[in-house]
Amino acid sequence: MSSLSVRVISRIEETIKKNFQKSKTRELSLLILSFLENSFIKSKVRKTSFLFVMFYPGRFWSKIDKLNKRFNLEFFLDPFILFPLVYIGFVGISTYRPSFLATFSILIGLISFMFGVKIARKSEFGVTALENYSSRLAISLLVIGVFALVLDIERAGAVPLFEPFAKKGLSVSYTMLASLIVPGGILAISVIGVKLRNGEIGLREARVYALLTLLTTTMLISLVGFRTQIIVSILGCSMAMYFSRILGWIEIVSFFMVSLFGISFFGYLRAVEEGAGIGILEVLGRRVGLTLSIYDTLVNLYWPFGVNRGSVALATFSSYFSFIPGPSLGPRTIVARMFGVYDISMTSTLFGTVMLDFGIIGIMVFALILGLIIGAAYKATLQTHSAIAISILSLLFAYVLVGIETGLVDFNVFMFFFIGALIILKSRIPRHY
Amino acid sequence: MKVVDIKEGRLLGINFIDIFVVVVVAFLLFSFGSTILFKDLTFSGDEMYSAIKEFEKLNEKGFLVEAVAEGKWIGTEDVLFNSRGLIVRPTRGAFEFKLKDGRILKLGGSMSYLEDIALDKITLIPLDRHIAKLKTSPGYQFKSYNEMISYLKNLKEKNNADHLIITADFSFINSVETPQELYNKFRRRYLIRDVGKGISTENAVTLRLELAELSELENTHVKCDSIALGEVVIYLGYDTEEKPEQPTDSGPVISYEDLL
Repeated sequence: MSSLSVRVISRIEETIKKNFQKSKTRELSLLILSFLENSFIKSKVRKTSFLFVMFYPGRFWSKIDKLNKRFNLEFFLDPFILFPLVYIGFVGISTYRPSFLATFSILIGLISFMFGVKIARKSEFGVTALENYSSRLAISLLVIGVFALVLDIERAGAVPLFEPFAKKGLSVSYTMLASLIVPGGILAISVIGVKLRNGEIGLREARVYALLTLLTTTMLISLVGFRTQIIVSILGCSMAMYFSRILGWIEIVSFFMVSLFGISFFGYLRAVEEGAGIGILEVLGRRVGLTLSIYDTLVNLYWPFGVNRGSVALATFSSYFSFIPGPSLGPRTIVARMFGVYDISMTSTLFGTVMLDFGIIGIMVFALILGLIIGAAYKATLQTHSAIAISILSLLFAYVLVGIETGLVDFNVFMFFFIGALIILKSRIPRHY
Repeated sequence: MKVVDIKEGRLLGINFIDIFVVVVVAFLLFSFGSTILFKDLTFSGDEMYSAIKEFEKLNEKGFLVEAVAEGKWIGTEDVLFNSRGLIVRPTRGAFEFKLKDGRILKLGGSMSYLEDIALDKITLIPLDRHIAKLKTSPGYQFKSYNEMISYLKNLKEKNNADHLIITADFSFINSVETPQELYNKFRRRYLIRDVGKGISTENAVTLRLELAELSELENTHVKCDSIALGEVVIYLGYDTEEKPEQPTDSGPVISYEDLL
């Protein structure tokens, strides 16, 4: 059965490849990609970025490098360790104590994820698919994303970061296209990492360019005013720097802390502005507590097999494409409606919507698939050190970590996982028995 | 010169990435500038406390503040609300909002559920662009209600003001109406921001009117033997584009834009 499906997929792939290689679309796409790459290489923008290398704090960074070498805590950043650690931390800082059943279901999810990572590690990877196009792809993703961002802000009439009501005027399609800025930035950093590895640039140049890319990417995506994207950008770019050996674990942990502090601080400012008496450290705990309490309720109501039989998962697509039959509301809105809340959407942790659809069985399967994808991307990164593998791991792992709170229910995020998984699968060396 | 030079990455002779970056930066600067520098008085339903803060700044200086409110009636799923009215007072995270027919509704934020309306957007509109606080005596005595109106009208005309707005304790001597009737009468009037609870003594009823516009007082008929005003504050409102000169016997002219 399994060999039949592999043969069918291979046949489809070959047919598409054959037709695509001869098509005008391929020629045109390659021309556009080359045009953008050449344009970037010869641009003044690139030349100007050389100037920033002068400001590289060499002495300071050499001290951090020494510390990185002295205390080697790299194993913490292995998905097998980091994901359960962050999840436990998430539950730990919550002001809400989940029930035994909810804790048990989370543990099942964590074990399934770790199991998935373990299985995926057995895979072997050769040359990563699309690696030859990595720099061209990075530039194209950034150009498309920035172009969509400009159109989106123009449509909204104001910058949502400074004028929150303008968020209502954003176009879903443009915002999703604008979210390509994040994978574009992460891929660009991974390309810089590969250039460093190949000795084409030095460490100080790599660090300065990578940090400039992180700042630009985060600054651009923050304009649409969605916190999740900002955190994914900071986490994803910093992970890409780590896996490319541009930065060490101390810098990565600092980025994690800055992200956490950033969320707390902005939440605190907003709470103060709205007259709520809340401490800066309490903000995260309260927010996490609310999300966990929603999850807890769902678990206690529907724990064995769920109730919606996949319609919440389907809502990820049907709420975006009207021609797909299914709910017109997004998954988070469906959760909110279940609690009688009509004007806002509600998050129910990474496992909430899966619990609603298929119960604990659903959590096991979902966490296993996530573990397989992240584990495979991690193994591909360690084996190939290719820009594509690093960027896929950094992007998807950042989304998984942020998704612990927000859930993974957006159409664009699903597409990132789907395409990322396909590329990783394609780069796998098949086993011959 | 080639229109598109693939090798050089040029479009019409100009490097594509350079021009792209310049256009994007220019656009973002323009958007940033127009969002931050030309700040208006429009707020989303999530910014109730910001809206209240701005209202309080204006109210403190004597501006009567109208608003265009857009949102949904709470308790319904899709019944929209879109109306212009006068802000009476802020309560915790909400506004009391007077419609032109005198009805008072409670406007809450986008997530409110106790009020009448859950707002999507609210735009504050001060009745006047500029305002000046007149130097007045702490108290006045008039033989009749009409005499008080004539005095205030003269004051308004003398200073070429578009509106005259008064805050004072109005003591109606030997009024035919009960405190409750007087309270209801004034409270229903559109351009009177707020009316305090009436105090009744042997021969007088005293009401505190907050920011009452002269035309509304003129249209309210009160039968009483005489009238006394205490703790009087009078504002002159100007709706002109240009800032008017400071009237005699008044403090400096304040534009609402200066307060944003």
